[in-house]
Amino acid sequence: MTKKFLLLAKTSIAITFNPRRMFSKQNSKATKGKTTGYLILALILAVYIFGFSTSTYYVLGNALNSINSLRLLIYLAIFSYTAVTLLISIISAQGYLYKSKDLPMLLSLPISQFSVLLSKFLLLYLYELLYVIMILLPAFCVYFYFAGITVLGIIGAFLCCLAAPLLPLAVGSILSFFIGLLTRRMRRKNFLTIILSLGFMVGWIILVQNSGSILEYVIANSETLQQALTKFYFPSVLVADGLDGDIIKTLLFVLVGVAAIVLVFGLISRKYSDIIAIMTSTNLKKKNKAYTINTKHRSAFGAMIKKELSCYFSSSIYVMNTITGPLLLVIGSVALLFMDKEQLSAYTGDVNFGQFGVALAAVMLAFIPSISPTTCSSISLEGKKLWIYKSIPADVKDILKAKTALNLIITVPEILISSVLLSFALRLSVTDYILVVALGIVFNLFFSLTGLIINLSYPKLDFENETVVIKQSMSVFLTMLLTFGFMITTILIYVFTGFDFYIFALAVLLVVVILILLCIRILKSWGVRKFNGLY
Amino acid sequence: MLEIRNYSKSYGNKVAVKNLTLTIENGDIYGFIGHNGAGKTTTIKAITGIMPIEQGDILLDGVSVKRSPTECKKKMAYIPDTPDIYESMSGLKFIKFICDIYEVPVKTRENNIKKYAESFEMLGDLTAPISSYSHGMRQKINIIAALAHEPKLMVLDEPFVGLDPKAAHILKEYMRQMCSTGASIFFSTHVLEVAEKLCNKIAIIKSGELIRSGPIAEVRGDSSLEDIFLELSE
Repeated sequence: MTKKFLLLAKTSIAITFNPRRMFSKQNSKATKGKTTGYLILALILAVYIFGFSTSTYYVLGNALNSINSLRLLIYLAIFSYTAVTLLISIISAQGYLYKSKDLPMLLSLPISQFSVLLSKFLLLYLYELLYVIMILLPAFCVYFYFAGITVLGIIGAFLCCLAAPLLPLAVGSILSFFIGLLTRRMRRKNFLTIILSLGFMVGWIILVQNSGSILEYVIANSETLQQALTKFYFPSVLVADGLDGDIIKTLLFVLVGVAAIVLVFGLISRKYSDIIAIMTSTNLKKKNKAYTINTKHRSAFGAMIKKELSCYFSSSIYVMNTITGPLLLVIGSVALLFMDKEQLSAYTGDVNFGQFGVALAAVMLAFIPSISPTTCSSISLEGKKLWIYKSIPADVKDILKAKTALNLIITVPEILISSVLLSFALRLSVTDYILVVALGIVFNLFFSLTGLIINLSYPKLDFENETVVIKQSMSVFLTMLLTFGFMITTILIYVFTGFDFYIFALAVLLVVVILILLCIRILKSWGVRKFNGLY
Repeated sequence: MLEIRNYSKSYGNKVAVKNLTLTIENGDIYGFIGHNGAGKTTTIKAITGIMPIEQGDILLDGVSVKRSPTECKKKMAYIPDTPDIYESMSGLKFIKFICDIYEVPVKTRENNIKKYAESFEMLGDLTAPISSYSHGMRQKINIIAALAHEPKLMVLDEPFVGLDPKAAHILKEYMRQMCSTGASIFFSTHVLEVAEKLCNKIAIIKSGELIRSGPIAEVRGDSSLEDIFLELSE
C-alpha cells in the first residue's frame, strides 16, 4: 500500500507543480529566465508576507509580554490559522477530494481507496502549509524572541508547523462533503456559495478594519480570552506548551492531528467511490412535454460576452477570487462615508480634505478593483474547451475583447458606485469626481489588458481542477504582483517628487492611456498569434 | 471543396504529419483512417484552424485556412473526439451560442434545433445543464450545434465514440443527406466497417504519411478494407 501511495503522491505532485518541466535541461533560455524570475518573485513575495506578519505579531507580542500574557499570542495564532485553514479546506476539498477529474480513473486502478484519498489530501496539505509560513511561523518566531528559545522548543515548533493543518483539514473535509451533499441538487448552488463566501469576506474585512480596537480589546481582556480560547480550542495549549519545551505536549498535538486524519479519512475511504458518485451526480429532470424553442438573434460579440458571463458565474471560486477587489472598494467607500470626518480633517488640515481626499479616492478607484482581474486566468480556464473558441468563425481580437469586457462589466459598476460614495465622503468637486472616475476606469482597463497578456504568456490549459488555475497559477501571481508594484511605484513617485497632485494625476492618466494603446497593439499582433498557437 | 496541400507538422523532433496532400470534393464522405498517433487529429485540427499551419496550406473553396481562417470557419463545423463543452450552459444555450456566432437566422435555427433535437431524442433535455449530461448526450449536443448552422464542410474526429447505436445510425443518415445536397464530410475513424459502408472515399495515413487515398473501391480492390489497412500499416 505504501509503495502505491508514494507512487500516486509523487505523480499527483508532478502533475500539479510540474517541477520537471520547470527545470528541464531542454527548456529554452527564455523559459529558464522566466522560471528563475518567477522563483525570485515568489521568494520576494514570501519574504514580504512573512515580514508583514512578523511585524504585526511583534506589536501584539510586545503588548502582551508587558502584561505577562505572551501565551495568548500563540493561542490567537493557532486559532486564526485553524479558522483560515478550516474555511479553505471547506472550499477546496470539493475540488481536490471529491470532484477532481482524475478520480474515476484512479479509483479504477488496483489501489486502495484510502491511498487515492490520501494522495489527494497530500496536495491539499501542501497548499495549507503555505499558510503556516504566513500565519503560524511568524508568531512562533515572535514568541521565541520574547520568551526565549530552547532546542526542544524549536523541535516543538517544527513539529507543530507540520501538524497544524491536520485537524482543520480533517474537519473541513467532512464539512465540505456535507455541504456538497446538501447543495448538489440545488440549481443555484453557486450563487449560494458566492453569497456565503461574500458574507464571510465582509466579516473578515470588518474584522481587519477594526483591528486597532480589537488589539485594544485583546490586551484589555487577555485573561478572559486566554480562558475562552484554551477551552474552545484545547490543542492551542499543547502548542504553547510545546514551544516552551514540553516535547510530550508537542507529540500529543501531532497525535491529535494524525488521529483526526486517520479517523476521518478512514471513514470516508470506506465509501469513497460511492461518495464521489453521489457528489458528481446531478438531477436530470426530463421534460416530457414538447416545448417551443424561442430564440432571438444576438451578435457574435454579444454571444461571446454572454458565454463569458455564464462561465464566470458558474464558478464560485472564480467569482470569489476576482470580486474581492471591487467588493473591498465598495466597503471602503461606505466606511469612509460613515467615518468621523473631524478626525480626517484634523489629519489633512483642511475641512474639505483637499488634495489628500482626491488622491485617496484616486488610489482606491485605480488599484483596489484591479487586484485580481478576471482576465489573468480567463484563457487558462478555457482548458479542454478551448477548441470551441478555436474552431468557431470568430475574430481572435473579438474573443480577447469579450474577455476584457467581462472584467470591465464586473469592475466598472463598482467604480461608479464607489466614486459617488467617495465624492460625498471626501467632499470631491465635480472636476475631482471626473478625474478620479477617469483614473479608475483607465487603470482597470490597463490591468484587464495586462492580465490578458500575462495569461497568454503563461497559460495553464491542462488542469485537473480550476482552483489550481484561479488561485495558484503563475499568471494570477504575476498580475497581482504587477498591480501592487505599479501602485507602490506610483505612490512613491508622487510622495518623493512632491508634484502638484493634479499635474501628477493628469500625467499618470496620460501615461496609462499610452500603455493601454501599447497593450492593445501587443494584443492585436502578438496576442492573436499567441492565441492561435494555443491548442 | 477542401484541398490539403503539402501539409506538414512536427512536435519538436517528432514528425506528426509529413507532406500530406489530399482533395475532398463537394459531396464526398471522406474517411480518414490510421492507427493511433498516425497524425489524424493533427490534420483535423489544422483543417479546422485549431492548430496553426506551419508548412503547406489548406484551402476551402480556394480560400486559405492559413490566411483567412475566419472566412473558412464560417463554412465549417467541427466535432471533436471528446465532447468538452461549457458545463455552465444548458444544451439549448450552447446551441444558441453557436448559432449566434454563425449568424444563423432565427427561423432556420428554430427549425433546425427542433428537427435535430427530436431526431437525437434530446428535445426534453435541452434546458438541462450540460454538467448533468452523459458523455453521449454531450456528443449529441455537439452534433446538433454543428448541424444547426448547415455547414458546407463537416469535420469530425471519431464521431461515433460514445454514441448509442440509434444515435450513430441517425448521424450516418444526416451525413449522407448533407452530402447529397453538395456538402462534404471529412472524418477520422478506427471503425473500418463504418468507413467501408459510409464513405465514398478514404485516405490511409501511417506515421504521418499518406499511404493510400481515393475512391473506396479503388483503394480496397478485391480485398476487404480491414485486410488492406492491416497490409498497408505493417
